[in-house]
Amino acid sequence: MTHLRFISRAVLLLAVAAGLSGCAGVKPWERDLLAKPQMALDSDPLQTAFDEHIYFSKEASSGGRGFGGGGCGCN
Amino acid sequence: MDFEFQLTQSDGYCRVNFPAMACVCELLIDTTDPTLALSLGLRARTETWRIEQKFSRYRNDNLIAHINRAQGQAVTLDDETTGLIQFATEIWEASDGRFDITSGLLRKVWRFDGSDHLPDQTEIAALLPHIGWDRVDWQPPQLTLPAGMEIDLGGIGKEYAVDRVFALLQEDFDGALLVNFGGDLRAHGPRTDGSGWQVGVEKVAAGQSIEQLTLSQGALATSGDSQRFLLRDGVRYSHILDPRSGWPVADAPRSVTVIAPTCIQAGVFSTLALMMGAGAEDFLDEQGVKYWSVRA
Amino acid sequence: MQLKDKQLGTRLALATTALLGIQGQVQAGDGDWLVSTAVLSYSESDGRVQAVEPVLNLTRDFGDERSLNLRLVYDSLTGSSPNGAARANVVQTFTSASAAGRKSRAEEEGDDDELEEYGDRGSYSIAPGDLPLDPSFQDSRTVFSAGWTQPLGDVYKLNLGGALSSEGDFSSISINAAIARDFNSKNTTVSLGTNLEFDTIKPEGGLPDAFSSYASHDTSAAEDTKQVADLMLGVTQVINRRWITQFNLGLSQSSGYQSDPYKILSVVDNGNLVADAANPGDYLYLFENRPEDRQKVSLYWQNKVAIGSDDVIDIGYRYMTDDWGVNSHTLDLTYHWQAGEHVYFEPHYRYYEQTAADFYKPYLVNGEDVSVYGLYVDPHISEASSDPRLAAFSANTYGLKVGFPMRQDEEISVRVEYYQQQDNNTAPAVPEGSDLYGQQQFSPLKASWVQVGYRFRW
Repeated sequence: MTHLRFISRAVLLLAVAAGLSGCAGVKPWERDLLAKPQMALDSDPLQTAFDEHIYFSKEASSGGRGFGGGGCGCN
Repeated sequence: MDFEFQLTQSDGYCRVNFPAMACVCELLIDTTDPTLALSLGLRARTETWRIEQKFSRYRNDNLIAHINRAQGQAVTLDDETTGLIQFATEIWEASDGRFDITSGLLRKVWRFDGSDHLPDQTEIAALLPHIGWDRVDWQPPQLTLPAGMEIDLGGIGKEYAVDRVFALLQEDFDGALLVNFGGDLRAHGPRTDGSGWQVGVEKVAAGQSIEQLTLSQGALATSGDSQRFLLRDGVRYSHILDPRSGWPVADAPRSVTVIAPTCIQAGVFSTLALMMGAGAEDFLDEQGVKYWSVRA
Repeated sequence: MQLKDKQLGTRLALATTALLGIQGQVQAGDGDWLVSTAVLSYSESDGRVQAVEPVLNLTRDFGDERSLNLRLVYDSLTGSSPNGAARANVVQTFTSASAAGRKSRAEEEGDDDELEEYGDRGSYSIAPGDLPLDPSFQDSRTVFSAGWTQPLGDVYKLNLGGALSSEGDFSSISINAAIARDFNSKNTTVSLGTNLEFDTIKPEGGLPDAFSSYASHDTSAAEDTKQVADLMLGVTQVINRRWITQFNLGLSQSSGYQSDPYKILSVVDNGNLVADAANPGDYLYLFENRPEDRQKVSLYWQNKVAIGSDDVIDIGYRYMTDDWGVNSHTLDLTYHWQAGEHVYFEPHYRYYEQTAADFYKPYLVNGEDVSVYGLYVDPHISEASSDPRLAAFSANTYGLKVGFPMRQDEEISVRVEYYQQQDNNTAPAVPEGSDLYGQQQFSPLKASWVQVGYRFRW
């Protein structure tokens, strides 16, 4: 049951995040900083893939940012 | 111009012409349906006329006139104008002050009529305190222009109109498209028969040689005008003025044509290239863009 | 005359995107690919796993927000890997029947390649106090993946992809799809995605039966499969000009064969290793077994905040919990320091901690977990594993990246990361003087890796 409780808390957080949209008013000309490559949420996808593969093979957690699979036999 | 709108059906596509922005604006629409072309054409004309009306410096009843007459009072701008001013600010910064929308005042003393009349340095010096974007208080969306200063969006207005009209037409038309406002153009393709749009670029001197270019995606803009200059003691003064000195840029190409993803980018590259004078081609090489420059 | 800022093209492109709301493309003649290449060199301390991993990634923009991504990864691993047995004060010898058989056959036939590969796995000894490592760890992995992005109608964006992965004893195929929608003039993006993965495990010598002895390697199947289904809901929100945040909720369900077919557990009686009745002189080791199902829930929250005109702080946090009893927290911090037009530095810190899986055991206790009656082993539990990945530990990673952007879409970068685990397990007490007395059963891993990357337009 802890899982269910956990999911409902997560959904609530999501709703809060979505609610933020109501007050955000970033105009197109204010996107100068957001458009920089270093502001991309995943600014170096190869680096992210390397690290996720390493942590996948050494730790019990995976995914979160993206899908947690891995296609790796290192069970 | 003695016509307001013209629709022609050509070989597999429609052509729309209307006058605006001191040239004949042209749309090539890859459709055989004249009704669709008519409705797209009329909307394009409305948008073009709207932009011209709003940003032209030749009117005294529009926003630009209002800003220029504010006498040091802050003016709160709408989203579209804020976007354009912010864009101009970025380019001013990136070009070390070469691109400056407050430089239009210099036209009061420089008249490029082919004559040998050069202004006095005292006349120029008197204007310089009123030129320079760093003197302006710009807190988007609030603009405070010191009294005596003026802004002029003419340097990017036409290219901006091309991009806007292009985006407007794309909202309702998926096919191939060419928006051409007097040589500043933007294309989307390829056409249903697989071909791209044929665009002619003046290669050497005006009218002498034309290179045919197939453009299926992207934009092209030309800066420079071989008809506007001053000639004195064998020195040719181009109409490209450096806002920092108030004098024409030496050894600038007659014209520069640049290809870029959008028309406004192509326009900024070609304008800045002229301001680099003798270094125009080096500057464009460094930027890694495709271009044609006309000298001689 | 030159402009101070040679990145004018980049600034102009950014300003144009801001002004027109979209990015244009040029297509005059030939197309252009964005090529990203990188090589990773990974190394664990104490002669454990070493890996070299080159990657080639190609991205092509077809205009109208349609793009194709292709990636090829090759991974070559060598070294030693913990076999799962307990660290002890006595010499331990590991002899596998199947490998021993192959070895003697190879010796008879004079097959040097086969000997090279299985000579060690046949039999190897571990000195007192050393972590039992299987020295024959060697594998290579090839992964090919492809993805396609395109708009769907006016407001949706569709992403489709797939991946194929192959190793000596493992193959995997996966497909994924995600749909995203922008709201609030592109300030909010909501996305929903799913990934389905089908794995086949075909270990050398067949799949060992659960809790069968390492020496006899009883097997009733040559291969098994595993299926993974993931579901992810994401919200990306632009908070203001300087701050963008992303929140993901991920659900994952995997079922099928989830054990490690090479991992074993020692059987311990009152702190002493239990002898293998079938092989006098050797100790008894049993193959591990894990549950067939696993459900995971993860929450991921990332923030990027612009500092000044070019610097960026990246803060990420992940919480994961699963029905194996693993709960983990991950905190990730990166600072992007644009030191100059053509150089930036990114110091990086990551903290991770996890609780142990319910069935994690450093070894099996005779009489509690299993009962050994001569040649016969009676398990009292259905699952057990001593895989350090399933133990309780925390880990710190420290990294530094240096990047040299040369022009738009051209960059060289070098990165170094150092990773170190800390033991958070409570070791069960064993009698003084016994085989296991004074031995730490979780071996904290130390690893470091170097990545060199080059990205360019082609």
